[in-house]
Amino acid sequence: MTADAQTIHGTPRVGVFVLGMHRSGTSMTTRLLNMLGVPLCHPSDLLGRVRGNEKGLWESGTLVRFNDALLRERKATWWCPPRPNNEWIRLPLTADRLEPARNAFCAVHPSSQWLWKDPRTCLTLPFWLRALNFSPVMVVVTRHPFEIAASLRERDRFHPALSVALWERYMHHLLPNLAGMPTLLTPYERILSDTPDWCDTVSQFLGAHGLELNERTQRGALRHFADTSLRHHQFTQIDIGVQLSPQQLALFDWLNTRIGISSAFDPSGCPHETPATDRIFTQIQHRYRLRASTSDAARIFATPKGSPEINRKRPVRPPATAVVISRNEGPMLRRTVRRLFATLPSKAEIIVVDDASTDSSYRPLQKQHERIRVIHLTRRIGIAGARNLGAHESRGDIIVWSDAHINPRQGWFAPLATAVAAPDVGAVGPALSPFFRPKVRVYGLAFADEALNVHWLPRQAHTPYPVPLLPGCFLAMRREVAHIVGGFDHGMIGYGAEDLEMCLRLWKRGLECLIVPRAVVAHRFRAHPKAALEWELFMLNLLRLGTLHLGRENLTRFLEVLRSHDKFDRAFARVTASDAFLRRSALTRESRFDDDWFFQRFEHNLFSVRQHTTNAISD
Amino acid sequence: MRAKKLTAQLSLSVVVVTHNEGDWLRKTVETFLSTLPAHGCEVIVVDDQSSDGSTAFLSLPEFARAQLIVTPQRLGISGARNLGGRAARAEVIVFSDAHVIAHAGWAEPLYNAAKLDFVGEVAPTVHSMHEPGICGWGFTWNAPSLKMHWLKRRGKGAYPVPFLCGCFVAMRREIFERTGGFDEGLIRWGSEDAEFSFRVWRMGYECHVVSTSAVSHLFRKKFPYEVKWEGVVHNTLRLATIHFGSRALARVVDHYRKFAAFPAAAATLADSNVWQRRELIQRESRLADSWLIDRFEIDVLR
Repeated sequence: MTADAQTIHGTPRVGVFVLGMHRSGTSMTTRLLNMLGVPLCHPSDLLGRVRGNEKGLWESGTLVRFNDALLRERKATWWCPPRPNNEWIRLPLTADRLEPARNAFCAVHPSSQWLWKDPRTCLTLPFWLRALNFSPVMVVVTRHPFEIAASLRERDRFHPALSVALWERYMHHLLPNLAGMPTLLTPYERILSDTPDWCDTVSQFLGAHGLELNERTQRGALRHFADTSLRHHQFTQIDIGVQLSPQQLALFDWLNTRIGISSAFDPSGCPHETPATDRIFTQIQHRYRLRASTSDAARIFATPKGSPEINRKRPVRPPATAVVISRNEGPMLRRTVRRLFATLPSKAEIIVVDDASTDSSYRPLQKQHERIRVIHLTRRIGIAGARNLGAHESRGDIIVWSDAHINPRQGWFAPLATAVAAPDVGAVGPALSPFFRPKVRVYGLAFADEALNVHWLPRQAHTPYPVPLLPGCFLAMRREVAHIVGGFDHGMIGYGAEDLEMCLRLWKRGLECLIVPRAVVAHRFRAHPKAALEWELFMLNLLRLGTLHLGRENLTRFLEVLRSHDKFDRAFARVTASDAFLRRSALTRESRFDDDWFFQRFEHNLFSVRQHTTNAISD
Repeated sequence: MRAKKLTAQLSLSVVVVTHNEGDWLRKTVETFLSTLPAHGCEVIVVDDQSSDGSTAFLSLPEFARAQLIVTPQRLGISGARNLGGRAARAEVIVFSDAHVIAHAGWAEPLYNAAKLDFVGEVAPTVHSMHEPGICGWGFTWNAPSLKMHWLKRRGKGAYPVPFLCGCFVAMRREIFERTGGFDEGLIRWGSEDAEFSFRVWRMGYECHVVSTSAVSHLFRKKFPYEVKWEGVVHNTLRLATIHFGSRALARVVDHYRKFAAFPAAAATLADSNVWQRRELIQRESRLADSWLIDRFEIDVLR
């Protein structure tokens, strides 16, 4: 069987190569394009997060192995690239590789549109262009060689001289082979400095070449993804300890002249390679005794046709995962799981996170069904921790966090799933009714006073509509959103407020919280714990909520109201000694809106009365 | 014989920080110029944005030995002291208030004590300027307000005490450089001396009071400049946040939460770099936060 790289089920294939030197921001670019709607390789083949790329590599494992094998056949590796010439492509050995490569490529990219990133492809580009016998669209990311050197020094302990030489050689491999290709060449800083604007440019470019993009991708999510934490090295002029050769300087300047979109890339005028670069790599080749290895390559290329490395046994991704957190819930847990199982779509999974229960209520569920997983913790990690653990273990596209004392009404899932799919939506929740009073319903929460107490809201519409806050007892999010915002706040080790914190965080990032009135869930409401210890934990979470999210003046007012409460001192000391202040400044950086925006959005006038009390003292 | 030999090598930089101190500044500078040898010693006046013209006298020829540094903007006591400390060239740096009269022979004992390897910070006996017979030898805390509680004399010569009053302290320049000086996150006035001593102890050095050296310090009823209570509360909370475990910190919070300035001070704290500072100090310290509290039996925090 020969896969067809040009069409899939009659639809012409169109795709994007993301190219550039290692550490140039190709991963970030790839994820951004992916968020704009170009699908990546099959998820089971995607390489996960690694040190240095905490937000993911977004590379196909199979194709990375292919590229490595191709390089090894030429006595080379990604850190010791061969001389930039295209003679190898005409060797008979290489010609044998074309078909397996095409099959592998089509197997890992099952869709008609695709996106492939691997910096090694800079070195093997002519091979892939031949193997796929059609022209993809090129997105090339460039970065200053010193920044690359600093990044490689940190991640791989490479000497800066090696990194700079690598950058030069990668460029000399890549640039001539781009000739005539539709190319967008972008500096890394440009993507970071104005992500939404860059996304518009790239959308236009890709749209003009026949790619269909998702027009409703939330700009907030894009901007968040490209936030400053990804800027491994922000400086442009650092004391790297090496100098650029005249040729390298000329190359960098030349690259700057090619920035932007070209329908047919023109590599003319590209300066020659520095002679010292070749010496460096020849030395490395001798030093590490790099030999042409064909056995490895033969093994990889000989893998059965179709899908070389994809594990087909792995089940398809479930549409949703319900994460039920439980602590000493007794028979309620089993009832909740049974009801969820009956009302969820047939392929959805349920994960029960048992937070160190002592009543063994989780035991009967352990072997009930293959789609029900039980995670039993021996040490208590708290509500936020348990919910995050469940989300981490989930595989569904939608995560539904549920308490273990709820009873969902038939037909809750479809309206929730529809509402949560919209790109601007962060979280959705159903109408709640008390367990034995089905006529009474509440529809989300709002802050009631400057101590951030909350009250329930009545229904405001029949279709999904935004509310300030959603209760955490039953809350649905897209998994990607949960991943981007980082789940529930890990510092909420106490009781309550973790759901309020999540909603406030979503709103401040520009993601909406919706109530879906058609979905109805019965919930067993319980009185707040009165015990002294629990009160301190309650106070702790409340103080953390205020500390994380209120601006200076509102925080002042908030503390003024709360300071006379019992256990305030201990809770405040614990908040202060935790990472709350650090998290506070991080949230300020990553938010689009501030707390005042939020309060105005919902016409809360909690903080309208402001007092400033300052007294001079004398000693 | 030994004392004479050391005196010959006396290498002192006196940093005097001033803000609207009036005539006292001149008296302070005069006592240093008259008690210190010209060779090896220097006097640096850091003017933290005075508006009363009190530094004009420094242009007179008899004050040519004193160097004047004017701060670029109002730095507060920690920032101004650090600025002066960085300009100092001698082996031992003395930080003095600008309303201090140094007694004859103050320099040698203080210098000799500061030169000991295991000593981080030293201070002389502090006399009250207008209340004869009232003196203090370092201080401790005996209330959760962390208010300065002066200690009586506890020994002869130099001996360790918990904290040294910032009105007059000395340290080797190496110590100043290793600690980075006073904490510049403390606003304007207050707690910078206790914070520094606490840090010195935790880094494994000792703070000694040198009873054979003496200065007179003017204890004032009123500041000649505005000190906001909110800032003082903030500084105390910052000190506690940086150095205390949560139980001791809760004691301090419990005391201060009664005050009207508490919420604003706490909000300022939340927006400051206190957490990063706390992490840094925890990393660099050799001794745990509770060590000093146990060492000097500061029961109010135990």
